Amino acid sequence: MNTVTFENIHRAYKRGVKVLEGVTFAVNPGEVVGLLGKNGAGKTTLIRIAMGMIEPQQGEVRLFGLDPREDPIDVKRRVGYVSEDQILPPFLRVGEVIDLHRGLFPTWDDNMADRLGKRFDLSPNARIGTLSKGQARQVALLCAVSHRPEVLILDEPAGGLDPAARREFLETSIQLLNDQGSTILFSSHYMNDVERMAGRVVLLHDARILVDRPLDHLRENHALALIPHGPDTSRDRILGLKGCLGVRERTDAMHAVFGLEPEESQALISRELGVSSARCRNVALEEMFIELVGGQS
Amino acid sequence: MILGMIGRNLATRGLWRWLGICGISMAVAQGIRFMRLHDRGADLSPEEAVTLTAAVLIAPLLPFLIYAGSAQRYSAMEAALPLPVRRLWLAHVGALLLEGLALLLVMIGLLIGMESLLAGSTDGGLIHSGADLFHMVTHTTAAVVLAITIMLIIRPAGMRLSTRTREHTLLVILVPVYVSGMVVLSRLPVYFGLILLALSALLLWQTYGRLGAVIDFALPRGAAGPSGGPIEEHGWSTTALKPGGGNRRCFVLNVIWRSLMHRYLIWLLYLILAFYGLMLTGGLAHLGSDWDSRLGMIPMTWYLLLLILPVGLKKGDILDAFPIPRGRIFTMITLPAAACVLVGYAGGHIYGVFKEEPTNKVIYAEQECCHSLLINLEYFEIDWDGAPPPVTSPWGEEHAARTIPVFRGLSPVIYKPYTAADSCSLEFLSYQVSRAAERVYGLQIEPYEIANRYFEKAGGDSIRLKGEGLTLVEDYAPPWPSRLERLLPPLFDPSRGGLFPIIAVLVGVPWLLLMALGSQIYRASISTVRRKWYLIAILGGVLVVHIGAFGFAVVEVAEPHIVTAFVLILSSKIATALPGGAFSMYVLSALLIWASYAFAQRRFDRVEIPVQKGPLRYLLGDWAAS
Repeated sequence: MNTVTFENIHRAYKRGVKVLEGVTFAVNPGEVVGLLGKNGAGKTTLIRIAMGMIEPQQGEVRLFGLDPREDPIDVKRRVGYVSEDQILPPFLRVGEVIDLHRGLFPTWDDNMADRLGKRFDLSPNARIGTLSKGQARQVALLCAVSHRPEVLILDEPAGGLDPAARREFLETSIQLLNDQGSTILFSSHYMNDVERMAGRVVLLHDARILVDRPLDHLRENHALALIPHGPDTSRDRILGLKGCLGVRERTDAMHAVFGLEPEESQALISRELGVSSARCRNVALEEMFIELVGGQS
Repeated sequence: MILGMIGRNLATRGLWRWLGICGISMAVAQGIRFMRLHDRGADLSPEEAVTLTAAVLIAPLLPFLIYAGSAQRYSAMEAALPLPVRRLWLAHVGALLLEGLALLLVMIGLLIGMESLLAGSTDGGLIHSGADLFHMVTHTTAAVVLAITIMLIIRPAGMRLSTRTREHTLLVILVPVYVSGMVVLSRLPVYFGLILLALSALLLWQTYGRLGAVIDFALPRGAAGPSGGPIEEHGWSTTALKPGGGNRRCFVLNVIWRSLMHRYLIWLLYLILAFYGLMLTGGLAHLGSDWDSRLGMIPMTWYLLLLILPVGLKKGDILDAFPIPRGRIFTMITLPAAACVLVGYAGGHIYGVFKEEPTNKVIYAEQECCHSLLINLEYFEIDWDGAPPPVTSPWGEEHAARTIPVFRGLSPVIYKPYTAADSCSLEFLSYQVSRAAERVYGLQIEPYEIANRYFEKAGGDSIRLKGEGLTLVEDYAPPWPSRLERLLPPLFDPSRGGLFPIIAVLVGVPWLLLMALGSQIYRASISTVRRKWYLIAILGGVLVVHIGAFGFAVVEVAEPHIVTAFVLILSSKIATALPGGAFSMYVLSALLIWASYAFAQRRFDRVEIPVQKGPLRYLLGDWAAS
C-alpha cells in the first residue's frame, strides 16, 4: 500500500483560478519525494491537503489508506510536519512545546528529543517567540521527528535559513531518514537540497504535474538542447516533438528540455527539424527547473 | 504622501468595525432614556442628558482606544523605507485622530438623527439645546484627542505602545477608568474641554520635537533571548519538564485557549459578555428600573458570542498541524465565552437575591376602572385567544379581567385574574384578595376574614381599605424562602419554571446554530472575500434583529416587560405540565442546548482554518504579544 496517495486533486482559492488541477501521484513507503514548482505552483496547497488542513474540491487523498479529513487525529499522529510558515505557540517555552507534543503523540521518544535538543543546543527555557528563525525551525524539526513518524512532510523546511542552519537541518533530516527509513514528502526551492535528499522529483507547473520521475532518471535521461533560431524551429514545432517537456525562447537559441538522453535528443532534432547544429547535453536539476517553469506558457 | 500613509495605516483599515458599536451605543442611550420615561414619567434633566450623552459618545470609543493604543504603529515595510520617524509618527497620529473624530462625528450624526426621529414622541430628550450639543461635542472631542495623545507620546518611536501582557492588562484597566473620569468631568464648563485640547496639542508638539531618527524595534525587556534556568544547568532532559503542574490535559487545553484567544481584546469581549449575562437576569431592574428588557438583550448576546468564531479562527492555524480534535478547539472557543455569560448571570441572580427583602407582594390599589391588586406580572395568566373567561365566585358574582396584549395585533394576552369591578361586593373583593394571597404567598385565608380585617364600607356601596392597608406579610408572616433556597434553581418546585432555562435556550440554541452557520462559510468552496462578506451578513443580520427588538419596544408593538412576563408565565405553565416539573424543564433545556452544541461542533469539524500568511507576522507581531 502506498503511504501517500493523491488522486485527481482539484483545488482553487478563487473562482476560475485553479491552484491544482487533476494532480495524481503516490508516495511509496521509504521513498523520498521532492515537490518542486515555482511560487504559487500549489506545493503548499498540496501539502496542506495531505495534512487534512484544507480539503480538495475534487479528488481524494489518502495517507496510510486514511482520509486526513475524516481521520485527522490518526493521520496527524503518524506524520511529522515542518513548514516554513509553521508557527509554534509563541508564548510557550521550548520545554513546554516539547511537553505539548509529548501529550499529543503517543509514540513520543524522549531519548530522541533529548539527543536533538542537545545537538541543536536549544535552551528549554527560551520562549518560542524570542528564538531566531533557525532555532524555531530546529524546535519544529525536533517536535516533528521525535514521535518517530511514519511520514515526514516538510514544506519549504529550510526556507529563510542561513546556509549553516540549512545544512544542519538537512543533515539531521538525512540522518533520521537513514536511521528510520521514513517516507519523506518535501517541497523546496533549493535544488541542491532536493538533489541531496530526494529519490524522486515531482514538478508542479500550471496546476498540473509536469514531471514525475526518479532523480537518477532525470539526471541521466534528460537533456537540454540549444537549437539555433530558424524557420523550422518555432516554439510550437519543437514542443510537438516526442519527448519534449518544455521550450524557452532565448536570444541565442531555443532552449528545449527533452525526456531523452542527449544523443537521442540530438538525433530526434536532426531527423524531425533538419537541424544538425543543435547542441544537446545532460542538464542539472536547477537548470532544468528554470528551463521548464520559466519557459512554459 | 502623509495622506497616503494615513490611508494605509494599520489602525485605519479597521475603521468599519467600530461603526456597528457606535450604532448600538446610540440605541442603548435611547433605551436608557425610554426606561427613565417609563419609570418616572419624566424625561432626563439637562444635566443628566449631558452626562448620559457624554457616556454614550465616549464609551463606544473605549475598545477603539484600547485597540488603537496598542495596535502596531508602523508596518514592517514602512519601517524599512527611508522615511523619517517623525513623518511615520505624524501619519499615525493623523490616522488615529481622524479615525477617532470620524467615529465621534458618526455618533453625533446618529444622535441628532435619532432625536429628530423621536422628537414627536417625547419632549426634552438627549439634546436640550444647541449650547448643550456644543458643550458635549467639545468635551467628548477633547476626551478622545487627549486619550490618543497620551497613547502616542509614550514610547513614540516604538513599534507599539504596549508589548507585554501586563502592559496590555494595565491598558485595559486604565482606559475604562479614563473614560469614566471624562464622563464625570463632562459636567464642567466648556472651557475645560478647550484646555484639554490645548494640552493635547502641546504634548503632541513636544513629542514631535523630541523624536529620534530611528524606530525602536527593541524586544520587550526580559524577553531578549534564550534564558538559562535550572534545567539548563543540569543538561538537556525533556523528561524533567513538567509544565502545567503535571496535568497534561489541562495543559493542552490551556495551550489551545491561549493560542486562540489570548489577546487583551478578548478580555474586553469577555467582560462585555459577563455584563450581558448580568443584564439577562434583569440586572437593570436590580439597579433601580422596572423596565424589564432582559429578553431584548438576547440578540446582542448572540452577536457578541458569535464574534468569538472569527476571533478564535484567526489564529487557529497555529494548532492546525497538531493532532488536536476540532471538537476540542471548538470547546475552547465557545466554552469560556458561554462561561462569561453564565458568570454574569449568576452574579446578577445573587445580587437580586441579596437585594430582595420580604415585602408585600399583594398591594391593594383603587383605580378608576376597578379595585385592583398589584401583584408581580409573573402571577398573571395567559389567554391565547385574547378573551379570557371571567372570574366567577362560588355565589355567581363575576368579573372580566382587563387584558394586555403580548404583541399588538396578535391574539395572545396576559391578564390579572385578581381584580374586581368598582361596583363589586365586599365579599367578591375579599374573595379575590384571598385567591391572590394563596397564589402569591401560598396562604389560605378565608375571604370573610380578609373582609373583616382589611376593608370597610365607605358609604353607599363603595369599599375602602381600613387601618394600615393590606398588610398580609405582617399579619400572616407567610413563609419567606431563605437566601439559599432563592439562590438555587427551583428544580423541585412543580409550579415554577423560572426564566433561566428559557433564557438559556433562547440564548444558547440560536447562538450555536449561528455558530454552525458561521462554520459553514469556512469551507473550500468559499473564497476569502466571499467568506468575509458572508460573515458580515450574518453579524449584520443579528444586529438588525437586535435593533428590531428595540424598535418594537419604541413603537410599542411589544413592551419588553410584558413579553418577559409572558415568557415567565409560560415557563411556569410548561413546568407544571411536564412530568417532573421544573427539573424536567432544566433537563429539556440542557438537552436542547447540548443537541445544538453537538450540531455546531459537527459543522466545525470540517472548518478550513484560514492561514495567516508570512513569517513577518510571527517575527514582528506575535513576539510582542507573548
